[in-house]
Amino acid sequence: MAFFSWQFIVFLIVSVTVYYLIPGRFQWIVLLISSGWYYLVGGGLRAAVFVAVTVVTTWGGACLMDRIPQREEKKLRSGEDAGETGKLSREQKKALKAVVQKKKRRIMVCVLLLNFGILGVVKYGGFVTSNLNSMFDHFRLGMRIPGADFLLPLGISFYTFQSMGYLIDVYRGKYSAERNVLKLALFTSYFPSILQGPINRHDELAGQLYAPHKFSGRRFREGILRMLWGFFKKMIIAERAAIIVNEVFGGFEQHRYAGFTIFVAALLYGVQLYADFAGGMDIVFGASELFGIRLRENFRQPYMARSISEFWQRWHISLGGWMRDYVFYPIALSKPFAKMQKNLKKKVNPYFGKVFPSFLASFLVFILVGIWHGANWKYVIYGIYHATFVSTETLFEQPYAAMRRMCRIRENASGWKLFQMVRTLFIVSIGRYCDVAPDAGTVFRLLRATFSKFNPWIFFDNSLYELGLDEKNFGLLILMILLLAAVDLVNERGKTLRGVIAAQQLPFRWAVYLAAVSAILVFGMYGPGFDMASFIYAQF
Amino acid sequence: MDENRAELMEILEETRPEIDFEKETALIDDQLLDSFDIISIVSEINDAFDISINVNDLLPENFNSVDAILALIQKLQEE
Repeated sequence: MAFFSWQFIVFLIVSVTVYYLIPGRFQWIVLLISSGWYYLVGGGLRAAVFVAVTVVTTWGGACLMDRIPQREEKKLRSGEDAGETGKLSREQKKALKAVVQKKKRRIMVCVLLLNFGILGVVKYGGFVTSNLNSMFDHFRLGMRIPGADFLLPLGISFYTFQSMGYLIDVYRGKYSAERNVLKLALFTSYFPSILQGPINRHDELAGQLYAPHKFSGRRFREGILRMLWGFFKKMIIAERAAIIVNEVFGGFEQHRYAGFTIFVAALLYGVQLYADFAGGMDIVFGASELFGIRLRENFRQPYMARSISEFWQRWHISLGGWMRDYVFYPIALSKPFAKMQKNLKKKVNPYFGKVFPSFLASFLVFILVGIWHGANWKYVIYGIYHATFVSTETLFEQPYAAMRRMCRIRENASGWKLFQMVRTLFIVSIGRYCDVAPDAGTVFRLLRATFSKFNPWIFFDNSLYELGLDEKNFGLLILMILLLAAVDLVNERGKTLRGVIAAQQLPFRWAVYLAAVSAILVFGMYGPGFDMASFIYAQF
Repeated sequence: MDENRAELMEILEETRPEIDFEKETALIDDQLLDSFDIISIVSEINDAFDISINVNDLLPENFNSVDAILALIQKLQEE
């Protein structure tokens, strides 16, 4: 069910109406039924079975882990002389902790393997078999593995990551397991966020999902406004930018697009991706707000980042946070890494020893982030590309600082900040070649085409208007991008326009709603190939 | 305790000299320390206090302020 469809709007109106009409303690059941319905209509029964497997195994695993400390203590007391209630000695406590962790770890590993195994097979099965087959062909082994291309269940990357985050948190003792399997099912499948995130945390979301909510006109209005802003970004900006992006990247070899033409398209792809993904998030966040439930933000003005590592703290924040807490920290703090750190500090140099393990761990994380985006070598390149910038930023922090001092650059000078932002945008835009090109070979051909021709005249000879958008539409796109940038600038200063508008008198508010709806209907792009369901991030 | 505090302050100030650690109470929540800082601080603390902070202890509430970090160190020393 596409977000921009009558079905979705009717579905949302019915859900919200029933939600606020029934007693508060049953509201979560309305959300569960709505989520089930939404997923069944969108993904079908087969996909729903995948979600059910994740829910049941996560619920079972977490509940089992939760019972282990009590059971083991009872066992220890029955065999020792501490008695039923007596104090355990320090050694006993230590031994108990070790046994508990070991048993909990065993359960966690099984559930993780099963769920990431499913994700791995459906998402990467085809990629692995096709690579193995081409390797067999290369060495003329005469072997062949049957193709394993699965239809990806909707939102599988998002709900698997979210559920496994919950499981790891229960293992770490951050909070207790949810006993009610239906409540955990709601946490896993909450419909606004199942298709394209954010990847929620149980301690932030679950309490809100199960608590009763009273209708708040102000929050409701803010939710509607946020949804409208999302539709605006998606329909007016992303869909318009997509026309040029598809034309240039789709036909760059056929039409010999090169130089600035490709770079303009790459910049527009950055705009498209942001408007599409952040616009989708606005719809998700706004829809959730209608139920009085606040989700974690996934974007924080990413194009104002001054470095690549800052960019990743602002773009797809929930994925970055997940990778930090569940991949980066465990690797960087693991025993082999701690040992390596000690050796490097002693044998090479204290500074190098201090930063190298983080450097290596972040490298691994970014390769994973790359692969998360899809089963293709181009995403591995994408991961390595970003990892190189992020990890060298820290590794060479001292020489970089020395260079800045030598060139007498003030860290907080506005000119330097602007330069850093433009530089980040440039690096990010080039990295996106991995996203738009169909394969790794095309990425390099695109790079060659970009840097092989210096053609600044395209900005003056109207050739930009021959890429699918006429002068008027191109002008409108630029205007809307400026609007998007202005809103980001306001947000960066800690204010939200939405809050200001929602607090205004009724006539003003309605004027804004009507203007936004008319703009979306009039300026939104609904060409013959238009498909509102196709949010870019929903395919991950 | 005062010795611990002085040693911890030295580690923190060496990692991020520009932060006023005595004053800040939301080092993680306000994103003053990033993940690279955390790893470097944890490894220094582990060495200096001969404890082993593991990934399960990496909760924001354990690292938001100097007092919180000191409490964590004390807890692990007692274990």
